[in-house]
Formats: sequence, C-alpha cells, structure tokens
Amino acid sequence: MIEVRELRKSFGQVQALKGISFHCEPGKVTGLLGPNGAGKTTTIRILSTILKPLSGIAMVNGFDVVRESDKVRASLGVVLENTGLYRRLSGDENVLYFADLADVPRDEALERMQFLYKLLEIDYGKRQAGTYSKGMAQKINLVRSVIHDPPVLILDEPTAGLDVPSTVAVRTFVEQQKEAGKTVLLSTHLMNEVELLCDYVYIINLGLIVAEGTPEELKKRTQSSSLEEAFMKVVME
Amino acid sequence: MKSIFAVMKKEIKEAFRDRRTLIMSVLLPAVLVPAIVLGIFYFEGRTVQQQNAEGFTVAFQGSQELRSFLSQAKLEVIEVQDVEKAVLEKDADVGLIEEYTSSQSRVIVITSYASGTSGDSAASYLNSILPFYREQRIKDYLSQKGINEDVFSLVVVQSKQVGEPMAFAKFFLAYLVSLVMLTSGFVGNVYLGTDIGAGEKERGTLESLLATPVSRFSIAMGKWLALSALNCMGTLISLLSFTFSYSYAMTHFDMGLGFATGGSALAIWGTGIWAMIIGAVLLSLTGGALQFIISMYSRNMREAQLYLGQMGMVILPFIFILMPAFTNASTMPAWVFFVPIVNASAVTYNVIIGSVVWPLVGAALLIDVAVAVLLAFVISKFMNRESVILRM
Repeated sequence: MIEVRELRKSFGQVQALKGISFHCEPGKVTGLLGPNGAGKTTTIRILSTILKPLSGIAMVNGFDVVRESDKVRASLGVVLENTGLYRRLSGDENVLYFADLADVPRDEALERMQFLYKLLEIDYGKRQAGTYSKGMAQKINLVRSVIHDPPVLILDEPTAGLDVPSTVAVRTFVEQQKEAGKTVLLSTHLMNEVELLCDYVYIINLGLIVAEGTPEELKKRTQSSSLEEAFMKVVME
Repeated sequence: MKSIFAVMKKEIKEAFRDRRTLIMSVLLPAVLVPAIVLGIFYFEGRTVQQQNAEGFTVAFQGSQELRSFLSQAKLEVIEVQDVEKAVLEKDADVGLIEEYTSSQSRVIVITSYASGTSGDSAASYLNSILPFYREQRIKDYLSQKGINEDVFSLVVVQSKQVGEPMAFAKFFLAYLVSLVMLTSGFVGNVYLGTDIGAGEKERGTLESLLATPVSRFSIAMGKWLALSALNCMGTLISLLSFTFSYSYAMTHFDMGLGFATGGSALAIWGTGIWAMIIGAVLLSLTGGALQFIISMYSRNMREAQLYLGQMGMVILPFIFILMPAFTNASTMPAWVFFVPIVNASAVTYNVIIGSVVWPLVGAALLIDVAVAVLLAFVISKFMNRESVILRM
C-alpha cells in the first residue's frame, strides 16, 4: 500500500506540495487527478524516490521513501509520463535489462515476460524498440515496469496518446493488476478512464488535496452529471 | 557489482549497435590514424626527395659551364627566351639567369613562383648547390692567375652534430602518440558521451531507470565504466593502427630524418608499453568521467554535444605547454608527472625516448588512480542532485 502524510516539496521559492496526505490500498485502483502543475508528477517522483520530500512521510509497501529507498524501489513498478524505451535494444532486451537491474533470475524473468506478453498480446518483442508505434512501446513499457512483480504500481498518464486498441489493452492490464491484489496509483487526465478504473479518487490542485472520494461520491457532492463536471467545479473553487 | 555490470553491459551493447559510435570508436581510429600517419610520411618524404635531387625543371639562360653543372646535379635544364614567363606559365619549377657583369664576374638570378611549394623547394635546392659552382669558378680564376687554389682552403668551416641523432624522430613519434592518446582517451567519442547522459533525458528513460531497484551509484558507475571502456578501446585501436602504419611508413618512406635507417631505435620497448597502456586506461577513466558529468548535466543531446565538442580545446593548452619539453629532447620536467591528463603525455614520451624514470611514472599513475577514485565519488554525488537529473 501507499501512505502519504503531510508531504511537502519546494523548488526554490515555488511550493509544489503544501502538505498533502492520502493513501492507496491493495487490490484497489486509486486515482490522483489534477490540472497541469497541480503537483501530481512531483508526488509520483517522490514516491518513486527520484525526488526527496522537504518534509512529511511517504511510505510504499511499508518502507519509507527517504530512509529505505532501495526497498521502496524494489516494491514499485513505475510507468512515468513520456517514458521512452532504449531504441537500439529489442523489446525483449528492454524488459530483461530491467529484470537484471531488479536482480530477477533470468529463467524467472523469461517466464514472467512471456506471461505478460500473452496478457498484453505482444508478439513483437524481438524487434528493435526504435521501430515501435507509441502503443507498442507503451505495452513493452508496462511489461518492463512490472517484470519484477512489484506489489505497488504507479502509472502516470499510461494511455496518453494511445490508439483505442492500445488504450483498451492498457486498461485491461490495470484491471488485472488490481484483481491480482496490487496497489495501483493512477494519474490521468481522462475522466472516463477514472470512472472505468478507479475505486477512489484524490483531486490535487496547487499542491493541496482539494477533494477525495469515489467517482460517484464526487459527482453527488458537487451535484454534477459527470466526473468531468465535478472535477471542474472542485478545481475552480 | 552485479548491477554495475548489468548497466555497463547494456550501454556497451547499445553502443555497438549504433553506427555513429562504431564509426567514431572503431572505424575512424582504424582508418583515419593510418591515413594521417601515412599521408604525413608520404608527402614529407616526397618533399625531401624533391629537395634532395631529381625532378626539378629549370628554365635556363646562361653559360655552358653552369648548364653542365646543373645537369650533373640531376636537374632538367631547358633553355628558354623568357625565364620569368616559363616560371609563370609553370613550364619550369624554377628559373635561372646567369649574366656576366665583367669578363670574370657574373650574377646568377634564381626566379621562382611566389606561391608555389615546388618552386620554393627547387629554389632552395639551387641555393644549396650553387655555392659549389661559385667555389669552382673562383678556383679556376685563382689557377689562371697562378695562385695556388689551396689559398681558398685557408679557412675551412666544418659542422658536427652531437647528442642523440634520433632526437627529432623521437620527439615526432612521442608527440604524435601523445596526441592520439589524448584525443581518443580523454576527448573520446563525443556522440557516445552525449548519449549516455543527455540521451537518457531526451529519450525519457532516465526517470524510469532511476525508479528501478538498482542504486544510483551502480547506474553512475556502470555508465562511467562503459564510456571509459569504449574510449579506451578507441585509444588502443588508435595506438595499434598508429604502430602498424608508423612501422610501415618508416620502412617505405624516407623523410631524410634517419627514420628508415634508425627505425628500430624507436621501437617501444617491453615494460614501457604497459606503462603506456595503464596511462591510456587511466586517461580514458578521467575523460569518461568528465564526459559523463557534462552529459548528465546537459538538458538535451544538443547541449551536451556543444559542451563535449569543446573538450578537445581544453587539452590543447596542455599540449602547447608540453611542446618545449618535447622539442628539447630532454627528460620531461618532474612537475609534469604530477599533473593529471598531461602526465599521460609525459609517460608516453619517456617510454618512447627509452629513459623511463619509474618513480615518476609510478607517481603519475598513482595520481591518476587517485583522480579516478575522486571522480567516481563526484559522479555518484552528482547523480543524487535533483538540479542535475531534473535539468531538462
């Protein structure tokens, strides 16, 4: 699970996070929504141990992101916005490189890679990644990020710019991860995706959590007919 | 250690699949270095041959005596009405007019084309042989006057060379080898250096990599060692192709410097070669570290290329500083061995002149090891700086 309490982060004079708190439970998909510059990416970067918080606590799978960063990364699968692949390596090599970095035995990695390929309908793993379409690359990216079978998954805009078949494949994958009991934190701008996938939602704006609840609760509370409308009302307040 | 090796292996694998890296690290050293060496030797050798003897055509106006003298000097002599025109129209490399100013006195005018190298060489050659003609004419005159021509030898000037006869050849070799080592090892493959840090940022792979279970120290070390290994490979290929082409050139082109005959004296000897190889490895580590730091700091590949492309300019002042020490053909001053980067040239020079001062070589290598360890520390700290990894 993910537990965040009073998390703060500044870049010079700019306060990116002003003390946010939230938590994500295993077997559920938690949405982190917000307009651009709200602090979503900073939060994800802190949870991925790429950045250090100014203050507050962030725990992933029971490990502190500052003091136990190695254990946090071993528990995490991360798909960040605009993540690329190594273009001169094949899809298989991209995946197995990350397996090596996670110290997954080769036999185990190959077995898991084949399982995930089947799940995501990937049959182009031998081709160089430079020849992939965006959707093909994103599927390999997903396999790569979970090759070490992490209990926690963080997805930042995983379907941005993808065509319909790829988007469906990614959403199916997320649902399967949820069914497997993984903790999934999903950041997205697509409200229909949130309604389809998320069990609980946090809306962040200007570095603060401004609303939380299930998609239905948010709509009801803001007297909105859609989640998009609810989101706009919350953010504009 | 296992993860460092994994990062290193991936970087090397990727590098070998990149045509630009292969061209810069393998093809260029293997082809360009011999081309430069053989080219220098070929053209210099040809110039020396031209200066020494045949091949020059002289547009001539003058006495039969001088014409015979020039023919004996293996010059092709053509009699012309207008010497200057013949030179301007390149019918001859040089012109020569001999005019009598009295029954015994004469003036010889050499005419050469103002911006022609063969004309300069021909004129220079004529200037070097005509004193013998003058001497002969004076002796003939003295003989006609009944004066013993030995009077001409009352003062005899002789020249004598002392010291190491191969000094210049050794300087030349040491300087070229140092240049090859510094450019390949320290400056290295700019494209690869660009790709290894800034390339990760531009492709969007850096953050995913940082989010993997592997530590940043391992990532930094793996990348640094891969970059250094590839730079070192380029250096060793350069040195190898240099050695082969140099040996070939020495036996096929005579530059008039005693290279062909004294070539064996320039052989790089046994233990010294190891000092040079260790020096090249350490130089690659230093260069690789600087390339990595610059590349990782850069926002994108274009910015990294801009900075890394200037690394060659950084070493030029060092090379100029060393020039006097090289040309003096004496042992390098001791302080040079204590300056990283520069000391690789000093070690190379000592190995080539065959008078290695082992304590100084040892000190140089130790200092380079210390610098490498320090750079490893700096790199690992550098990778932890948010201002560096998020500078996009």
